[in-house]
Amino acid sequence: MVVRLLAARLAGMIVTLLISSFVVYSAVYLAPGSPIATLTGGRPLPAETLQEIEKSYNLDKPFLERYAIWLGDAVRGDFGQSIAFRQDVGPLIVDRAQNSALLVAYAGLLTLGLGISLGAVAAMRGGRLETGIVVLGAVGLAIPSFVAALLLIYLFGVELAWFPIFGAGEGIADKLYHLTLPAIALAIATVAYVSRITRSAIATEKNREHVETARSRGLTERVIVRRHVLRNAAIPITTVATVTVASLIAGAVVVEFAFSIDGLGSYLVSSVTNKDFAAVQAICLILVAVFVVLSTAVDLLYAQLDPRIGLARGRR
Amino acid sequence: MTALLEIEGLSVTLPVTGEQRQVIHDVSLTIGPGQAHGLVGESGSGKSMTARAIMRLLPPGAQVQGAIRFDGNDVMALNRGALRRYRGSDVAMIFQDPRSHTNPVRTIGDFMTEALCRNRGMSKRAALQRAVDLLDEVFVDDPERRLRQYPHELSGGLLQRVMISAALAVEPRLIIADEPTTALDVTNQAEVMAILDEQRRERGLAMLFITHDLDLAAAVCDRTSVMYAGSVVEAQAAERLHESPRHPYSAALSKARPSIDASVERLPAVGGRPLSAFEAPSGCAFADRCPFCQQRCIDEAPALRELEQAMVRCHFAEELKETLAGDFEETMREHA
Amino acid sequence: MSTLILSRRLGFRKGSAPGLGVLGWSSAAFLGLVALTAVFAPLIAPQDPLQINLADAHFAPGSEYLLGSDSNGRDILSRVIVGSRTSLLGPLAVVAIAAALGSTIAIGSAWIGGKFDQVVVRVVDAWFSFPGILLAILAVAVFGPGLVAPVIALAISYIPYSARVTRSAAIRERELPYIEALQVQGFSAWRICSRHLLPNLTPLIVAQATVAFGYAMVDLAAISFLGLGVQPPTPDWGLMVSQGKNGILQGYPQEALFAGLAIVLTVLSFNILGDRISRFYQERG
Repeated sequence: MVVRLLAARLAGMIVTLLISSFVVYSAVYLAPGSPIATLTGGRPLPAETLQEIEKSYNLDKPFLERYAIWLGDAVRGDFGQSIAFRQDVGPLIVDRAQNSALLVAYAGLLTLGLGISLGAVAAMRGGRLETGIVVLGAVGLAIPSFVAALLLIYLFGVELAWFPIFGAGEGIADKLYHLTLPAIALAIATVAYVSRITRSAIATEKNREHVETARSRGLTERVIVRRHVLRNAAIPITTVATVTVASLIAGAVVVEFAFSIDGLGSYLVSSVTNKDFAAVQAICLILVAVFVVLSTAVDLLYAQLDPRIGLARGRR
Repeated sequence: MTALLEIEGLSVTLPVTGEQRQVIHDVSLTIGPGQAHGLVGESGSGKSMTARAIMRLLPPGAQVQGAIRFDGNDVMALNRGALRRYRGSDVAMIFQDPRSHTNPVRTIGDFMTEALCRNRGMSKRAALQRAVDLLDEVFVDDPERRLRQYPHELSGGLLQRVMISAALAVEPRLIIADEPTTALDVTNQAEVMAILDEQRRERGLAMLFITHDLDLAAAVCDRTSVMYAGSVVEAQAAERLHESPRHPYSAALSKARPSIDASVERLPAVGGRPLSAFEAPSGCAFADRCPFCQQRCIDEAPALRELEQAMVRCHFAEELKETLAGDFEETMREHA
Repeated sequence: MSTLILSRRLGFRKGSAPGLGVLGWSSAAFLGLVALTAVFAPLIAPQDPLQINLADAHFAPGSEYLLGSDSNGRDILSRVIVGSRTSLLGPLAVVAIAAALGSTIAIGSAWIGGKFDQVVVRVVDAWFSFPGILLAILAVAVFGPGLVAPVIALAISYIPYSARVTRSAAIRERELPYIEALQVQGFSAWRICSRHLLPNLTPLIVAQATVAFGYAMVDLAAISFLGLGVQPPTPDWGLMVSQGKNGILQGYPQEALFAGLAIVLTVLSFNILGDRISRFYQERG
């Protein structure tokens, strides 16, 4: 049953990946004007170069075949040539992926750690503390990452000068130092969101009737909270929290731009500005693929945590 | 008689939108060791709240007056540890809806052994063996497999048998069964009831049996109290209450003959809807639905008084004795 | 007409307390004020938002410039006021398109049911996997910077949110006996859906759209912040935050600060209002 569930999820993931990659690839051909003009971004290029591009993009072949070739190459790590940099996109991406991954991981840890503990504290303690966390969360949820970024730059970069405000630094310690403000800016809204979900999940589980059963049996409050309230609340919390962390992948684009971090996101933005389509396609494909893979992992995790879902789906 | 459970003048108020509302008013009852006591009434009459008061499971903000004594000890005064021991080994509760009262993400085995392992320090293995034996006794097939399953894989009737055996597992002295068959489908009701009744008698356990079905209470209980609007309106030996009710409300209940679909808690023979305690007027709470209502009933609240081995809360219990024993459905219908 | 119905549904009945609570109504009032500001922006703005006056660059908030001036000496207050237009119009378009298409899909799917419904659910699930902001960036890459491409892209990626919420409610509503009664009376599916089902789902759709408005505003502002949306010199809150970065580095935070504040307050109000509307809807059952 578990194997069938796994197979179904993986099949779904592959279909989604195919559709997304098709969207990413075909988008370029939706642009007004000839594909070659789009691909070169209207740059005046010598005839041989144009021919070369036409050949490397297989513009003489039918559309679906072109797509298949592109996807096949992409899977092997060949994303074509960057027109702006005049070199392969692959290595350009690899250079920048590390910074992005580090930023997302940093912000992800903040989201999970702070979000879940704030929400849990609010739900368990109640009173003024809960009100405070709820109010802060509502405000945090309304602060876009780029606004937070500039506020942090102003406060901790310019006024207090505690943190660097440009780039991603060198070496792991320096990188973490450089990425602290960006990670906070990226995580403010997600921390708020996860804490809200956590709080309401625990509040809901606390009032379940089976918790009354546990209490009627004379179990200690600690055992009731751990075995029944938190264990059950963990299901929605894990699902939402991990999906939220996955959403940081797209959010990182804006924060990288705000802090001038040399990552995939700022590379994507500059590629769009430079009309460097090979890079745009490659980065979009990678970001979407990571997001889809993570979402599938969340689904499987959910099935693992909730016996009802796992079995019901496996049986179907 | 040394009472096992003694409730004296219990009143409970609950906070509802800022004000304290009366849900139980001056309830007294006594259960001796091994005795089964039925608590009968419509929804909202306060019977489930009474059960929760005994377990000290009232919602936060509830205010309690009166005394609840178990084995002579004041339940309301128990400290945290004593309360846990009281809940863990003296009293066990069986809830109405086994589906929502079992944790959906824990196995049946977990559910059945939790209290034994956590409260008694029994080893998981010994507890599981005990669970297997108990499931066997309540006629659950293949108990070992059941223990590995989750609540959603079991039918309601099966789950309620699990609930019963989990309650028996801790060897309590009193079982509180809160409408244990109401949430089940008809085919399972009789069976589950029979199992509960048999197990209780075999073990000599006392039971507080909450139901809206007077017939059922008469069948399994020694004594029955009828509740209306948060108060006990009549109490006497179960058989006798069934046959010769002294209070018009009990009479209506016994005439009502709940249909096969026991989830219908209406009184077809009496018009109007049941009142909650906080809505109760200054006179008799049943007055506006009572076919025998007089001016006195509206003006003056009757007290619970003794009448030929019965306790009854009605001004005209003596006068109505004959009428209530006979067929008075006509009167009732006219009134409705 | 529809606002009247809505306000009645939200508790403006005679004798009953307003259903949105103090916070809900004050958010609604604030948003009404912002909307009025956007409509009458040119009349309200104290100065020309495009008037460059390099000698007045980076004025602190004061009597001359109420909220200070930006790096080109333009009045920040006027730019925030006029900037409300693009900042509100974009998300409004996103939400309107997404709600219209999303609820059409949802009601159609719920009505037809069966295999069709299952396929729709699968497609909607897969739809979620393309983050809206990425689709918007991709759209800009293809069609060039501006508001139109990102608005359409975001609208497309917001459809599944609207569809998912509306579908489950539509399925519940479809089970109600009055629908069957209408069918027995021989009303067409179209008429039942448009005259009965849709109006009953409207509060829910409005609640969902209200919350989505806040998110759409953040996403579109982010696109402008990246330089891919609204182009200078047009004032826009997201773009102002971006242009304010240089000021911040030089110690003049006012432009980014006030534009950012405008975004935060508006989004906060939309979140609160959406939350209150859906809570009210749920309580009403």
